[in-house]
Amino acid sequence: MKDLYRILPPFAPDYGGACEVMYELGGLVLIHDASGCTVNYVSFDEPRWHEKPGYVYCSGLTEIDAVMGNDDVLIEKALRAAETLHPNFIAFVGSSVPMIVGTDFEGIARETEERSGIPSFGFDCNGIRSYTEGAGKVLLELVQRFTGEKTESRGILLLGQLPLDDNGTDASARLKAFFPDVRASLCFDCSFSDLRDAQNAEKIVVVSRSGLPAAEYLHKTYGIPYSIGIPLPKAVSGHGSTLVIGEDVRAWSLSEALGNAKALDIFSKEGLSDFHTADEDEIAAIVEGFDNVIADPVFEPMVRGNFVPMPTVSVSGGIFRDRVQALDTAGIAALLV
Amino acid sequence: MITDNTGGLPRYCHPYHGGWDVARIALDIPQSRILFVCPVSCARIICLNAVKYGYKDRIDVLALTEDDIVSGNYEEKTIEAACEIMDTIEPKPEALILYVSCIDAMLGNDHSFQTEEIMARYPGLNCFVLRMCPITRFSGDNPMVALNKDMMEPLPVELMEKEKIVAFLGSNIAYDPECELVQILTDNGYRALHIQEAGARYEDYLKIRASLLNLCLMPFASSAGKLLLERYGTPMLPYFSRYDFQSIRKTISDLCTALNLPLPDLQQMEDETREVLQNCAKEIGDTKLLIDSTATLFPDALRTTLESCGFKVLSVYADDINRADPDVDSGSILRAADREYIRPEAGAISENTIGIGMVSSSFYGTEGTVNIFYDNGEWGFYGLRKLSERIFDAYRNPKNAAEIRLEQRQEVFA
Repeated sequence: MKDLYRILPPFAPDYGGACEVMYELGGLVLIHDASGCTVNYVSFDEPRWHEKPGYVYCSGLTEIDAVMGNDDVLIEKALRAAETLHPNFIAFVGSSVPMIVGTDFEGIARETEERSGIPSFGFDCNGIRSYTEGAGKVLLELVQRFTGEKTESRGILLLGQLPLDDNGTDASARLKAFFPDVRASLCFDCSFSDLRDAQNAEKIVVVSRSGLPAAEYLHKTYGIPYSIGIPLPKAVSGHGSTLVIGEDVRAWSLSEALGNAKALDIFSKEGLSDFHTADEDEIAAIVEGFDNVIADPVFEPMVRGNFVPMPTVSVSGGIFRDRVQALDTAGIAALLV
Repeated sequence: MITDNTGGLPRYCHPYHGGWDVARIALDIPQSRILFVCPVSCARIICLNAVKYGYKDRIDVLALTEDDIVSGNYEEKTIEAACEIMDTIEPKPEALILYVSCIDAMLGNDHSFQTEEIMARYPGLNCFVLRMCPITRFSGDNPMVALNKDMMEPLPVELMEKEKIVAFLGSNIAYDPECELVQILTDNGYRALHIQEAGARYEDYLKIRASLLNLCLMPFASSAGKLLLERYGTPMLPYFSRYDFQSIRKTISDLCTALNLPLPDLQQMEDETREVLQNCAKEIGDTKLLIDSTATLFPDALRTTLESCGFKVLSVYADDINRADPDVDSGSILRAADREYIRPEAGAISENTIGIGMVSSSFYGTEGTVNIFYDNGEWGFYGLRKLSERIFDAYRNPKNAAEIRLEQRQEVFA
């Protein structure tokens, strides 16, 4: 039955991606929820939570405030916290209840900015859309707001990299190793000044679908060329038909490097991959035709052929250890039949 | 106007809940299965906990789309999903729980149509609704209070003949047969009925109706106890796991009085426990302890006890309950929202410190950790002796919160 998940857990939602983008940028982020959505984010969607300080909080939404549309509470809380934290910006991130009551996040952000003088944003996430959609929207707005005059043209800017794409906080360094002259990677292992200087990149590489809207904007506004995909080394292997399941750009990049492989994107409706669906029945039908399936361990019960586990935070929330690392083409190819 | 008692600040949320979420607690009803009906994000933490702790095969999710919510179409979809589950699984569950989330409270749904329809199609099945609605925590019962009560609501209203049973309410971890509470009961011919026991059956859940006494082990279970009193006439005795000697002695005395049992030698039990704690305090020397309210609902009581036995307690971190450690009772859990905003920098580990509870361990960067959640179901003198063992183990083999978290990651084999 469509929308019924018997085997798979639900994947990382839009507010998870949205918060991940802002985590290292010195912003005050308030998820507008009662607590469950924020706990979901800190427990499973943000591996940096345990290692680096970040200012993502829960608004503590109550039933009465939701029903009465008492948005002043949210603004007051943000302003009081900002007095202590002195953030680079303030962001309000939606969840499912604000979706139901139609919270006007843009209006809330506008009023907050008027009262505080701090750049403020409102993102109408709803906990239904995918993390790449939430992250893409946030990264685009931040780039639009904070980039300025282009003063140089140097280095590669990676766009769209998030901890959700991989399985650990060391993943950023591993991805950067594939590029010769990285000036910054937004938004993993980065700083607010990296965001403000994004217009000074010579070239952009989109490393996950989350980075595409911002790349298109920077190309249109500053003429910076961009490419999509990770240049993984080609594998030498005589393996059978292979399916890579994951985020669009990463799954496609790996399938290209492996050869005789197709990609299934579970986070967006379009892109580079051969298939796009998050529906469990449709995924089950697709995996049947392949000799090898490379995917997060939670997919294993759906696979009859050779299964190669490739854990990702966006699917299993960091609860599995790696057996092979997500971008290690040779290591993965060695496990194929 | 700010109406939520948070002091007007955003709330810091920590990720340490001992793996206990509302679904795992509800699945303590033996032979039950859950169908979550909610947006994907609400069910993510539930399903990942289920994968992590090995009960995902008892949870399904009907993911609501924006169209479903606007159209109200998901009422029919819920029935369809329930039928697909019931038609395809063996063995069939005795209870099917429709679990809904905050948006359901906002939409004001009535699910009786669905549960009645599902039960009509599958005779013998008990189908009922539970709610994961943290949004109502200031306008209704505290979610844990509501959950404990709602788990008892589906019991049949018919009375059962009373037996020598004492039922445990509010604790999510099966008791250890070595603890004095269980020994007092079993030595006197009583069955300690805890539906969390390994191998418990649905009939054991139904047997709660036959108990002579219900022990309320956590404050948030007292609403459930009151329901059972009203419906089956079973008295309830608070048996909270406060870690102070006076309270421990009182709870044991109250239990023995209620069941007319001989009182064990409480002084001897206290002396033995004190000696164990004092020896541990000597062993760990100047190591400082931090306590948080995920480890015990009564952190200040634990601090007092430990200090009286020679331990050095540096700090108590309380979240969601009153820092002054009031007499906590159902519905009166005072929620002092956390107001800490500065978290330790990465790798900032405080030497010679042990956090009792993962929150104090991570927040203060303690060198060692006693990883327990809500007393680990270890009450009374026995609980204090077990805690002493755990403190000593954390001293000899210190692990910080990050190390424990990494240890808990599961191996994957192709």
